[in-house]
Amino acid sequence: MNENMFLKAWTFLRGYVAVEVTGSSVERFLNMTAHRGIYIWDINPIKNGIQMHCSIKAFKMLKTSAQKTKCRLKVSDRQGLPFIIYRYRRRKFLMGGVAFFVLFLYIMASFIWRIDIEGNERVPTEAILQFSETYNLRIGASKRHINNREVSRAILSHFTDIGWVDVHTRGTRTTIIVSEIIPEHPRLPRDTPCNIVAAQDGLITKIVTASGIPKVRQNDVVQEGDILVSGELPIVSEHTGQSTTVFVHAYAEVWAKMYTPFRFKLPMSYTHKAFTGNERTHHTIQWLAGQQRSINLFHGRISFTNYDKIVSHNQPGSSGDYPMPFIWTQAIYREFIPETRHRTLEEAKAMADRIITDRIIREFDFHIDIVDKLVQFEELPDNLVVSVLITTNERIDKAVPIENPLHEN
Amino acid sequence: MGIFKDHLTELLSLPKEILLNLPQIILTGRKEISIENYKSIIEYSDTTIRINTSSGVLLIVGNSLTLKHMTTEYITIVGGITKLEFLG
Repeated sequence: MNENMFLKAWTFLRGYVAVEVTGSSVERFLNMTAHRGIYIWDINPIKNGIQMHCSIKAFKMLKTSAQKTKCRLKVSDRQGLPFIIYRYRRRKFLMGGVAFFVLFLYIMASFIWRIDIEGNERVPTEAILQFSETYNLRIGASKRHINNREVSRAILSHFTDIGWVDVHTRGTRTTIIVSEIIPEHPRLPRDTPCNIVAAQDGLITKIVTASGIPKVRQNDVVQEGDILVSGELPIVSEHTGQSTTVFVHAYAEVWAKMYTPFRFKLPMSYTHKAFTGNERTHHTIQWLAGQQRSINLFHGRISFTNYDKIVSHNQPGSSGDYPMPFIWTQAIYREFIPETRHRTLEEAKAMADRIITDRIIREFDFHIDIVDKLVQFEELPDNLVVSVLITTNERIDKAVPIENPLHEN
Repeated sequence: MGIFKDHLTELLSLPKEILLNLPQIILTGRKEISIENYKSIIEYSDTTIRINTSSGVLLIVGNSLTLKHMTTEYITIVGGITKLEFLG
């Protein structure tokens, strides 16, 4: 099917003719044509002969075959680009316009109109974009002046957090795909003597010691910096009764319960936006080529006193290989009338619950166990005071090397 | 010579249509027929087509037969084919 399409496109570009061949020995004419290596197709019998299709070039070669076999040739149809050009040859401005259009498309397609950056989480997109600009990679830059390989090598050596880069250009879009390296946790070497200390305050729930002397037990309350497991081992000789000290690399997993309190006020009254349904839309076209300039379309005056403005940007063709060199911006202004409303206690509590959940998700690491959540409400005339106590269970052990250990040899 | 070639192609399992210059005929249902290695067209109309091949004259009978492609060694006919026959 695809092949057929290519063939059709090719025959259209080259141009072809439908020829009526009439005479007494049409078969002989066909044989002669085929033997001379001329390609013909879609041959249909007609009265006293045939109708067939062949290229313009082939048609010129047919004439001798026709003379030899005493057949008459008659062109019944002309198809394809060469005939279209011929038909419009006198209309100079039209032809010029077509030529200009093709040239314009060709030139515009040789610039970059969009840069996408994918895969970055810690390295900001702006930083990568700004750095790429020093290697000529910017919106509106000519593709010829950009060496993607060079850019990717430079990004790799400039950003230490990036471990792999791929820069590729398709159409008018350049995509930079980066892969960030996993941050390394500083770790003490196994042979360094160390103590295990508490990284935070808490109530010990579990302690598993692999080496060293545990100094705390389950249900002990510890403060930040307290030694949990000591790497200092006093050894008393059985024979002499002398005690010596050996320093080891203490290792333990210590879990502790921790309490995190926070409180906030929730006002019982709030402003409700009653939308009137009146809307105004402003369109703006931001041209990306050369001097970046905006063209405002249909910008009427906004007569609303209170309104929400919703802006959306859209670069046509951004989903395909050829993003366009402009950004279409739509700003919707929605009028509303502010109304003061009061929350009921249930509504306020539900709202507080949502705020708490949101804070937990935002402020606590995902691998921390949240054991309990205590919420207390205090009703004031205008506000609802919410006090929250979150109980978590997490590891608090931290290895700290022992300063100046006395090595005994 | 002909017998020797025949035996040789059999022995080496070579494609016969190339060494012995035989026509290869591909029939797609009864809608399309392709003949490779044909010699010439003897008769051509929309109901009867006679094609000369090295294995004899092939008669194709049907209705609304048209020649889709035609090159030096390849010919494709489409239409409603009702009969195929080798003459002589």
